[in-house]
Amino acid sequence: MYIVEIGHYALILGGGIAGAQMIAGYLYRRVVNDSFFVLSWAQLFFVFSAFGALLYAHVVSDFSVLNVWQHSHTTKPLLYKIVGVWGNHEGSMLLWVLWLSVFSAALGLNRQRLPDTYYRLTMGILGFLSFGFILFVLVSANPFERIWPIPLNGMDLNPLLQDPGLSFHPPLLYGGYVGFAITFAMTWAALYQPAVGWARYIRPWALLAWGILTLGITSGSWWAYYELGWGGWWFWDPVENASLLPWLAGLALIHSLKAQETVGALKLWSLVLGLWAFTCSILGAFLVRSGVLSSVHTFAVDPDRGLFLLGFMAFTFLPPMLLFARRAFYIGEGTRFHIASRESGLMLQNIFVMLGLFVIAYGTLYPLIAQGIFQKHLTIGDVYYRGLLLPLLVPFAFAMGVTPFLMWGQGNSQKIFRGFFMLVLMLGCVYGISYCYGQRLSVTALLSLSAGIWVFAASLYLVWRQIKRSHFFKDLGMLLSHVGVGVFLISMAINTTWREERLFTMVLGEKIFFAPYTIKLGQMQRIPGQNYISNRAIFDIEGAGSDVQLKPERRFYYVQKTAMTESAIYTNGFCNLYITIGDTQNNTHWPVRIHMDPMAPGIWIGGVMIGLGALWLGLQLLLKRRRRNED
Amino acid sequence: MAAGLFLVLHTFQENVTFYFTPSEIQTNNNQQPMRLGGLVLENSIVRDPEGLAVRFVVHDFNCQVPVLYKGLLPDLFKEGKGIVVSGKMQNGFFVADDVLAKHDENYRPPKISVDRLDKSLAHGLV
Repeated sequence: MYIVEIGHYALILGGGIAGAQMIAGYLYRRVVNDSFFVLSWAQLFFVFSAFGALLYAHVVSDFSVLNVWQHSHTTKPLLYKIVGVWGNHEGSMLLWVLWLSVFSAALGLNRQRLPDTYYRLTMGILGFLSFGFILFVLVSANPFERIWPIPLNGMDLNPLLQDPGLSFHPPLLYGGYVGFAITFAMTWAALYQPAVGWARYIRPWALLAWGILTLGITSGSWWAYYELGWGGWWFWDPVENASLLPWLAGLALIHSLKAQETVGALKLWSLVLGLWAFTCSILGAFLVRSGVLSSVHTFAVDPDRGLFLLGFMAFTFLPPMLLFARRAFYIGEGTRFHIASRESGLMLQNIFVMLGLFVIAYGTLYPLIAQGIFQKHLTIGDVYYRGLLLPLLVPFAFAMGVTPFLMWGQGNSQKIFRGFFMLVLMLGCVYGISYCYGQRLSVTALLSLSAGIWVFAASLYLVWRQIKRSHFFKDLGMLLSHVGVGVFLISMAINTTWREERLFTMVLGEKIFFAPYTIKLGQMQRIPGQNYISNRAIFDIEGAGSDVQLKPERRFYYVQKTAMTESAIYTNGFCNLYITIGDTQNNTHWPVRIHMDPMAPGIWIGGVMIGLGALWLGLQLLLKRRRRNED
Repeated sequence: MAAGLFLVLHTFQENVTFYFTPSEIQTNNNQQPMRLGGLVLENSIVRDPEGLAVRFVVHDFNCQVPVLYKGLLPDLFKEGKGIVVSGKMQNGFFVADDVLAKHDENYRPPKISVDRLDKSLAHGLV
């Protein structure tokens, strides 16, 4: 069975082709466009084959392959044999490379009909990136390594990963990260040889990457919520923070590009962010894989991998920044704008977003620096993040509500003052209404809830205005995302303020009252699974309409000998009832944790809305037939 | 801007939690919340049969620290594996508010040198 070797050679070939593409880009004056099309699709073919070979090895449980032995087992369910391919360092790097090949091939099609030089330079830079990452995989993260003698069975995949979430969270997240490679390449090419209207070309790709990344982060949050059994949806874990960095940069980027495209403003912002979004992605990769972070997500400890990625990051970050420094003078500043115009609002947004990025980066990286230089081990609590980000969120939300109603190129201070007045009025209403219901809102709760309602209401008003102007379908993506932000912020505020958790032991037949539900421990069962044995509790829930049963489990996986929790969640769309059980000492008393999570579904529904809206707009821009340049 | 920077650093300082190994924590009389990292000592887990309290010992091949925790232990928590607990030292016990199990199968507490571990292996202690 030499499929694995074929896969290995295919990857080497793919790397060689990427190198050729890189050289072709360097020789851009003497190479025709079609060459890049052929090279990028050839690379995709070979990388796809390599991925297929690894997939095959996992599915047939070929334990002569080190990667399969380390992370699989014959009793592992088929779904996880397939998606488990990217549940480890080497496999996920191959997924990264596959995404890069997909995006390169997509750009290779040149649907946007980019100007020749610009197209060739961009493809050349993409070739460089593919070459670098494939080299990294082959040299330091080779999934095709063989072992001898061949073991009879493998070490199985971590039970936490044996879950449907593994099917979509990593692919979406990596799609987002890698998507920014396109904006990186296009921005670099724009710095070197600007094409007229470069912002118009980059914007759809930025939207696609950011939309996919949003879906990836949202799915990760939802997965952690139901899988980890702690009932939280965001932990300010270093790896989570690492995904926020490119997300924030991407957020600022898509808006800056719009400003540049429409009125030529925020030009330098667009250029710098176009580069930074991808460097943030690589930084995230470095943090996760280097072993310098302790987190649920870390793949094994190996400083070599970290060093390579750090070097690569310096290599991809420094030259374009140097290029930027040299070329910025010739590119020129963007157009000036009135302080009360839409461009100004977007610039304000950028500033807040960058501040947020700094706060998160500082909190995440400082422990590394402290450990490396001062030999001190420390962690940063979530109070730090929340304490600093909320003051940034409130003015950001205000700006977000007002800016879409401001005009391009003209000032309209009246609208801003009106908006401010309405915001203050709304703050009062929110506090007043909650007061009438017996709730005394803290400052934090009041501000975050108001910010959410403000954005939600302003976005709905924007939807109404666009419908009146017959622009609804044209702006559907933007409207969906903006309303989604409102949904997310409101849900986050409500959930954080009013969620409740209770912890106790129960015996069979015992009833607990947790308004508005009565929860009774009806049965305990012992159930074998394909590769585990489980203690399953059956809770009867009253007060939820028809009879509802929640069946949380405590599983013991044979191969890795670890215990794991399967939570049970009942949702009515607006509130989650969340139950997990622990281990018993005497088989009569069972530890139970119950959460009430108001508006939890809204958190992820909001996130999905944001991601889909951006994806929709990105695809709309890429796939539309060439018309005269419109807004 | 300076005010902003001050705000960041100040909030930062207030929310830094230090992380110690069992050896380091012996000489530490701090009442601040902190984190303790090490391995769970084999056969040291004792559960309250009717309640939620759990007792176990965290070690780093050198010193041991008894830990008290009330609640459900997280997934991946296992004797002989890496663990990080956050809480405070009280009367010789580490009273934990939170228990975080490490993902890495081959976890080693940060300060242990590989030599030391190999020597322990040689003596059949691990």
